[in-house]
Amino acid sequence: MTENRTILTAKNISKTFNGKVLLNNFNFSLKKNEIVSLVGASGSGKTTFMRILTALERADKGSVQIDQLALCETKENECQYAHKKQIKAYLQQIGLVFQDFQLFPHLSILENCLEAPLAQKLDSKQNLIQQATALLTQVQLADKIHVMPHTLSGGQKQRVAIARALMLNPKVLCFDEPTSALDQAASKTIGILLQEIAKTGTAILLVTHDLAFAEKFSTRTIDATTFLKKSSLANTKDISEMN
Amino acid sequence: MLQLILPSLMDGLKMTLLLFSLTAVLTIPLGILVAISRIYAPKVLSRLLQMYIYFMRGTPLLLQLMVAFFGLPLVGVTLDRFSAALLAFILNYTAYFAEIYRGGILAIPKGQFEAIQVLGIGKIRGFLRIILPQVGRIVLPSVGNEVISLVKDTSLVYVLGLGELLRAGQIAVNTYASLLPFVLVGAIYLIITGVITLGLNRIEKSMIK
Ligand SMILES: Nc1ncnc2c1ncn2[C@@H]1O[C@H](COP(=O)(O)OP(=O)(O)OP(=O)(O)O)[C@@H](O)[C@H]1O
Ligand SMILES: [Mg+2]
Repeated sequence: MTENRTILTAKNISKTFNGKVLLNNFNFSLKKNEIVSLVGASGSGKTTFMRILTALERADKGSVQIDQLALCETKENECQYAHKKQIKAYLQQIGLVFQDFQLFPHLSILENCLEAPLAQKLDSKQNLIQQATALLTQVQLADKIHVMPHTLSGGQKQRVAIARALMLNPKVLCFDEPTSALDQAASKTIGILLQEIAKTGTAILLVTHDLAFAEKFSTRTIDATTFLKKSSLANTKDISEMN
Repeated sequence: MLQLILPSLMDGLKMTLLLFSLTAVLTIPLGILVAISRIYAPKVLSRLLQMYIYFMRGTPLLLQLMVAFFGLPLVGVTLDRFSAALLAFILNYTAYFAEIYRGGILAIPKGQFEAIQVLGIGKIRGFLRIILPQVGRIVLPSVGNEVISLVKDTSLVYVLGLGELLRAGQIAVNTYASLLPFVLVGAIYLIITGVITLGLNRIEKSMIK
């Protein structure tokens, strides 16, 4: 049923902030169709790890790649980041939904979804509008296409942010605490939506403090305590048995 | 008497409006460039601009006007009265606008810049289409304040002997031994700032949508 192909690989990732070690030779991989929940104490570096994967933060050491495209590699014990162009190509494969959504407040919901694919010239405007309309319908916002972000509820904003990220057809989609501001019903809607997205092949990594949510909607859970343990790629698989 | 006073005031008004509109049209965009450079340019340039802003805001505009007209010839740059006045106004107001815009840019949440980055929108396009419109909304009231100050500051060019509105009024007061010209001058300033205020309100409304 689920293909076992690994999409994202992060090896030996280390990151220290002001002398505080957050990640120490951390290994992680993500397969097609997977939904992996990252759980763990506040301040353990979950967001930081996700920001490393999305190139918002630089790893001190380690390598990250999606399929064959490397973001960074360890060479001679130093972390070397790829050239601008390759980082851009890498970033086209990974999306991030921010905890506070970061919708563009002066643009309508539709315009929020169109801005990035238009900038990247992914398709004609007409086709992109069709695609955005379809996605916004899928996330049950068909009636909100032309409204401004500030008129939406938290759950609705979350779904706009998801649609906006999906417009770029990423292979990997990251979510930082997607349900932290939502009630049970809205969380469930998001959970089901994540499963729908994963079914289409996109691998999902999400950070959550909601263990029940992680249990219910993800295929695997990782605890942030493993950030600091020396782990081999092989035994990250064992962690799935914690689930 | 009104027929005698008004034409002379109109000449002054022309000068006031010319100086005002040229300064406004040039400094509002120039300020953006300076603000961007202050934030993103290499440290040397950023520091230089910081010094420039310090001088422009730290000395009276009146002094800057006199330096532009009486001082520059000493270093071999001779400008006519109007050009000297315009130069001083542009340098001065660009500095003020730059600081307003800088505050506006710094007020945009870091996450917006990160969203632009993660979504691959591109730095320049993202700045122009995502950041700048939001900055505009933030700074509009302060920019409006400066624009209104500018209207009144144009009266300072009398020190260079330029016949702007207030000076025209002053002459008329002396000529006709009447205070009526001052009343008229005050009324004209009020009309100008009134029109600007209405315009600003319009822009503000269109920005809020
Ligand atoms: N840019 C930064 N500079 C310095 N320290 C940072 C920076 N970003 C994060 N940190 C520190 O790194 C640690 C981990 O932060 P991070 O946000 O990754 O934690 P988290 O696991 O996501 O926590 P939470 O569950 O509360 O969201 C914290 O101690 C934080 O203060
Ligand atoms: Mg976090």
